[in-house]
Amino acid sequence: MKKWGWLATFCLLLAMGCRHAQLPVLPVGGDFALTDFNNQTFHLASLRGKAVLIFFGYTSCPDVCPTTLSKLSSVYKRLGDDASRVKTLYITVDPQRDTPTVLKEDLGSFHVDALGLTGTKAEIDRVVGLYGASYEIVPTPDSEAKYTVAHSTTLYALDAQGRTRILFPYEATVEEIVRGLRTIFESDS
Amino acid sequence: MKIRSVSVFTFSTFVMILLLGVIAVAQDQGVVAHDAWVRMPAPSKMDTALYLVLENHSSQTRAVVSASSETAAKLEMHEMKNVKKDDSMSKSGDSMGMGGSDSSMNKPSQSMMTMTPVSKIEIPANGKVTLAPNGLHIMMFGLKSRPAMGDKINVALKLDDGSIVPVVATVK
Repeated sequence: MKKWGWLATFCLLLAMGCRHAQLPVLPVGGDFALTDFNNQTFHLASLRGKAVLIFFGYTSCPDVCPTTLSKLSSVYKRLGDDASRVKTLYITVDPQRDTPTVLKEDLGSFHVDALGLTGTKAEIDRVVGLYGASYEIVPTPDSEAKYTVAHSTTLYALDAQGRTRILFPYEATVEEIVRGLRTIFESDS
Repeated sequence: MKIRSVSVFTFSTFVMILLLGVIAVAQDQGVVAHDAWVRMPAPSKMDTALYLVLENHSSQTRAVVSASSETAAKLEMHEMKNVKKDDSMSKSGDSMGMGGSDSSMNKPSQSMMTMTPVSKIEIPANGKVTLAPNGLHIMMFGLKSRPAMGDKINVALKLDDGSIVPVVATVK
């Protein structure tokens, strides 16, 4: 019986180790500094100890960005008590229009623990490059909008050590994002 | 017998006229809109998007060529498209998933979503088209006042044959 007890313990530990090994550290990301929607310098490193979701968008985006933010509202609701373990960073790719005031005002309408980030074009481009994201200003002179911004839609999930662990596609469901975050929480514990 | 024949004739004529009337009404129904909704604009914005379903009950393909509303300065038709970073307009699915050993899932997708103006929205004969998030939509620029949740907004869609399709959209 003693032998079987040790074997069961070994298998349990192996299974726990295997589950953590299924979540690799991805070769994108890294620390950065931008300006938050309170007009303060923000360092990603300040969020150590929390999981982080990063999304690149812009507040004049009528469709993709509000859809993602609405989805994240549902994610936070589904996380319940664990909602405080994850912070969302909304990095604008339209710093010309998305001032800190605009970011704060518009993000406040979603039930997401989100911090809006902006900066100079060079600062934002650096972060875009670090995370392998992309964006392009597209002039639309015949439209009331004057220009629109094409942008990648990947949602990046970082662990409490600031390492990128999951890349959620735009089509990821609320359930998939919640499950992924819980896996990250477990890998941090 | 003669009276009975006249009665049958009258009744048949009445039924025929009724049937022709029903057919005429069905054909006149043309394009109808339903399930229309407007996204609540962001707090700092007076622009938003309108989504709806358009059904074409006629045997002719129709197209929406313009839209207007007393509640906004300008309405435009747009489409969300997936484009590659090098500006090629190829459809590219976002292939990322929840991390794994497959190396293709370890790099962010190079596809981007962009909003593109369109000159018309076609509705196939005896068919329908759905304007929904991530696809076709009608942008409403310069709302004259901030709507409240549940408000009804009237929009008029002009078709290529000159007819107008009235739309009542709910703010959500």
